[in-house]
Amino acid sequence: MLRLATILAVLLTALTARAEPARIVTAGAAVTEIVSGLGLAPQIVAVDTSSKHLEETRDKPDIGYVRMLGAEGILSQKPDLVLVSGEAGPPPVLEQIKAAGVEVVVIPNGYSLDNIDDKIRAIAAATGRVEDGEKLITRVDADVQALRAATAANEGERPGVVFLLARHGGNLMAAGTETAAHAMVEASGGRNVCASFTGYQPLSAEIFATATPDFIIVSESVGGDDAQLLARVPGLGATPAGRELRVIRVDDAAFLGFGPRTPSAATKVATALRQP
Amino acid sequence: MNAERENDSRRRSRAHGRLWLLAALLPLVLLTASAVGAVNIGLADLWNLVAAPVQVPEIVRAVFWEIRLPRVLLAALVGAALALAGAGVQGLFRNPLADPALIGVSAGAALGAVVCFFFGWEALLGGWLLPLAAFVGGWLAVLVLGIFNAGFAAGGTAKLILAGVALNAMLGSVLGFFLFSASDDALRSMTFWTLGSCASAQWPQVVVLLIFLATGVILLWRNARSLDALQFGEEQAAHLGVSVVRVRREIIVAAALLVGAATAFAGTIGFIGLVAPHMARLLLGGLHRLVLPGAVLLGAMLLVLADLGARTLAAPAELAVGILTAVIGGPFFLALLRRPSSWST
Repeated sequence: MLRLATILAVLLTALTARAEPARIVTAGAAVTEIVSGLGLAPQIVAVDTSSKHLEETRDKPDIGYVRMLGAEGILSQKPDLVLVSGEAGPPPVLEQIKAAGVEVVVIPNGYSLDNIDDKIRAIAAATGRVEDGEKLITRVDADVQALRAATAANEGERPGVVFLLARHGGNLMAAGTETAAHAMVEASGGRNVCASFTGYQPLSAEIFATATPDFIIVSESVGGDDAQLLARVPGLGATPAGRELRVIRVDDAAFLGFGPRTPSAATKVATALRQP
Repeated sequence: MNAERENDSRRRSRAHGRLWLLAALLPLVLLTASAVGAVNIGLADLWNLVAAPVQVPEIVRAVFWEIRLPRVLLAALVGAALALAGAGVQGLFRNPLADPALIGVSAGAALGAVVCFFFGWEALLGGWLLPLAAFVGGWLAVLVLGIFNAGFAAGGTAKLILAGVALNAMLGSVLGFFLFSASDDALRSMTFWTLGSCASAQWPQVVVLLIFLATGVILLWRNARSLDALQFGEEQAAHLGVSVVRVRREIIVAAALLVGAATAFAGTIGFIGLVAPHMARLLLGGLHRLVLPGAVLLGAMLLVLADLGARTLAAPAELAVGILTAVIGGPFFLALLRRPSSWST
């Protein structure tokens, strides 16, 4: 059934695939990574702020924060295709761009590894690169398999993990359920010890009275060494993760982006989680 | 006595001249703002857009008619609405520091919008749920204030101001709760909303806001003379035959309509409602038949210019317009304050 759906989807995209766009504006890190992964980086004329981390897009014009786009700024880059992730907005701005006669394709977000293939397929169809899309999907699927193999060894005794996110102003927040971090911690073979709340919450020493992490995962972009990091979070030093200084640094754009680089970033974490 | 009257009439005719000057400046500002933007249009094409549309590239036509013009007009209407509400509320409270926010409408609207972002509903109803929630939130806040003020009938304005302060504090803490519990993404949306933006402008919103502005103009204009009388104090105004309670109700309703609608479409934009009426008074004197239209014109121009900055300074990215209103209006306001003019209201 699934295979049939896939074949149908591929057929449909093959039928609807059109001439390759010459000028693409992208917003959303995963979307930009996929467009770039399809070999279309030279056609990207502008990206949002969250997409500036890639080598290929670092010097492209910046259309701003993905939730606060402006129609005219985007249109001034003369795109023939605007590819944005699900959170892009405000919604009327996307409508304005469509009203100006430029195609806008919204790629829905989803906190699941299977979702990456859907994104690639949708973007490949929109850019007329179906074949490259299938190649990229094969690569991503292989990475997902590698991740599954890496986490299989952890089954049964999943180590406790706390994921720390640096918010604007440097405050550290712990990831609860219904977050990308929660999904990725679980997918990497860890057990999120902060499953008692949803969303990202400010850290308090009390969290660690009940939640005892064996590992801390934190973004590479958070400054200072591991000891300094621990000093910033009251109560963390007394947990097993704190005593043993077990801190895993991740590239959060890759680890949390649900883009083509996500499975391999997760595999790295899964491997690190197996170290005693 | 005669000389004094002559002096008075000369001052008044000078104020009228200034008002006409402002009225003539507004089309110039609108035209300039329509010509300038991230997509280059230029004056020749601007003329051709009307005279010979076929000669203009299609994309330029689309940008002008679908994006830039509604945005410039929305900015003008939002600025006018905020300034008009500010002029009315300052006149009502006889307080130069009064701001439409005092009656809770801005905080209520912000709460409505933040709740929308909190639950991720901002795109529902084709994007109309967000302005609707903000507008309803603003109105609920004013209603609550009215209920605790016996329908704005009891007590003097001092009591009303105190109630407004308390209401704002309560709304602020509820707002804080939502900001605190929001997801990181929702929090960013909330933050940007509270900084204001005219980027979402579309024709239907322009039309809706125009209707609200017209209603507010009518409500305030018919109370302009009563507002003048109120400047002598509520008791004196009552002796002069002003129905103080009715005036108060109408001004508050007008301010809630104006600020509610403006905030619904553009987020919270500070400074204009406070400062544009002052500018009008410094330029035109204290009579409300001059101050009200003056505030409308100045508020419109200020926000159009601030929005011009918001959409061009960081192009192709957007800036929040709330960051720019004070930067653009502040120096102008300070320059006006230096003039030794009548500061009677």
